[in-house]
Amino acid sequence: MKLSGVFWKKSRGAPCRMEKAGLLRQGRHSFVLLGTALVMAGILQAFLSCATVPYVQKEDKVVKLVELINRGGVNEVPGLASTPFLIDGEIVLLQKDLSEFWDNLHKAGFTIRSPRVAQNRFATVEDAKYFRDSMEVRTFFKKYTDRDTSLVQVRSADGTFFLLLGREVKGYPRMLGFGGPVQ
Amino acid sequence: MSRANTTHTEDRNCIFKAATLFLVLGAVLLLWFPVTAFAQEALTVYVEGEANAKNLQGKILPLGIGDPLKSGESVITKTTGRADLELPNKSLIQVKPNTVFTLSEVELEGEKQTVLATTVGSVSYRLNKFTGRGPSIRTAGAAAGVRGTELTVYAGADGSTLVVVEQGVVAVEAVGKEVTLEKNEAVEVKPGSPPGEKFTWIGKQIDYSTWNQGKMEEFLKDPVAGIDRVALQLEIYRKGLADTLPLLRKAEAEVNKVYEELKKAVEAKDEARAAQLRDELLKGVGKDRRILFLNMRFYALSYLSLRRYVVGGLYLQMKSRYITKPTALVYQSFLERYRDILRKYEETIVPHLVEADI
Repeated sequence: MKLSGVFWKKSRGAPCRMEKAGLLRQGRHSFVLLGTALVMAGILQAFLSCATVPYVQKEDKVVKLVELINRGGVNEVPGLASTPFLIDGEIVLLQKDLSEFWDNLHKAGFTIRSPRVAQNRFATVEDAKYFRDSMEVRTFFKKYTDRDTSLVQVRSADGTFFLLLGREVKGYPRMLGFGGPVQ
Repeated sequence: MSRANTTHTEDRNCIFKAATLFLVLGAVLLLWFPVTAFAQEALTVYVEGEANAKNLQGKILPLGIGDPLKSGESVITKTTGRADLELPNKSLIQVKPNTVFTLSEVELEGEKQTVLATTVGSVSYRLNKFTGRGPSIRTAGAAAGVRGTELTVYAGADGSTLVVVEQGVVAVEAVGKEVTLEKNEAVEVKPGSPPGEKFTWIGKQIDYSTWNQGKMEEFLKDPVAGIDRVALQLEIYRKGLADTLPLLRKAEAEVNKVYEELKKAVEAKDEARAAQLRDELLKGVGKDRRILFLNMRFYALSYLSLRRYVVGGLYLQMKSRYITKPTALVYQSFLERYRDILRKYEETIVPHLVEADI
């Protein structure tokens, strides 16, 4: 009991100053920890917001995609062009129709010669007019395009084409729509 | 009158107005109730490969075992996809690859009829006996009345239909003409035309891809005649809609008249008259309006399906084949007809569609 009394006294006397110093140290420690946490949270937030920043199409990838179309290789890349898909004013819902379209284009000897990206921007519902100004096409834009979808205008020796493109699939921009040629 | 009394009267008026609104709204809701609450449903009992469902909101979602398919919804299968659906009376519907199948309802002579429609692709049916009116099996260009039957329906990319009966009796009707098929008999129907001669079909099931390829080759020999045939079928739907619209407008005006009278009767606390008017909204003018509305939607949606899957499909075929020779006369003549169809569609059908239909 006595010992414990001394111990108690010690712990209530001298250690009190030590406690204050300890608390200060702890406070500084907590402050550093809090600061680090805030910095980490900031970095994380920046990463998270990066993931939701609209996706911008890279022109070299668009050219790579055009080369793939010219080679007749669209159907060889799974998920590159999948339904629902917009071709001019038609919403394609059957994958078979879409696959046949790309096959037929290649068989017909279709190519986009000397392609040049004339415009590359985020797609909006108003862009429906480049495909067909109709309720159906506007609904397609509302339902199936998002902030990652770009409208890319490609000028070529074979006319002007409009491509609706999204994030990459196996190194190529995913296609959501194909319009043209417009002379 | 004391302040307390005034407040009490105001409260009562308020409650009365709310009750009136509630009763009238209830009557209006009841008008819709039979359309939605007793709508036919099918249950997905098997799925293989990629099969999607287009729901009433127009969203396309993967179809899974156990998913219900409601009236107005469609199944869209991909190249490897297949889905089996079961109706409440245990009838089986097998939706095969590359097919668009829609379950819907129309009202005929005051009785509801389930419509099982194949726009493109092939669907096999093993149908048990139905209580009441049996379903109508449809494609873009033909309708078949069945009861306790096994049959397969093929809907070609050019709008053609082939019906093959494996068991039972099927009456195939198109453009007002009917052909009765029995076991191992088949008939082909071109869009906008009456059924052809029936023929005997015994043996292996027809391979849809081969049959459809033949239809496409036939179309490509004369694309202008091909799209003209589809235009004839579209015209049948457009006319059906045009004939229904004035009747629907008239029924709507009558419903509004009864609805106004109901409001007055409820406000006047004339319960007997209110009950009579509610009955009129449910069974009389209200029912007429509901039937006409269902039929109007049927014509508009049938037009949309045929325009999208058949006319749209033909356009893709022509565009992809003629993209390097766009001035070819046959392509230009096809485009002229195609644009004409689109113009009529925009003018007469689109005003009766909603975004969820797209």
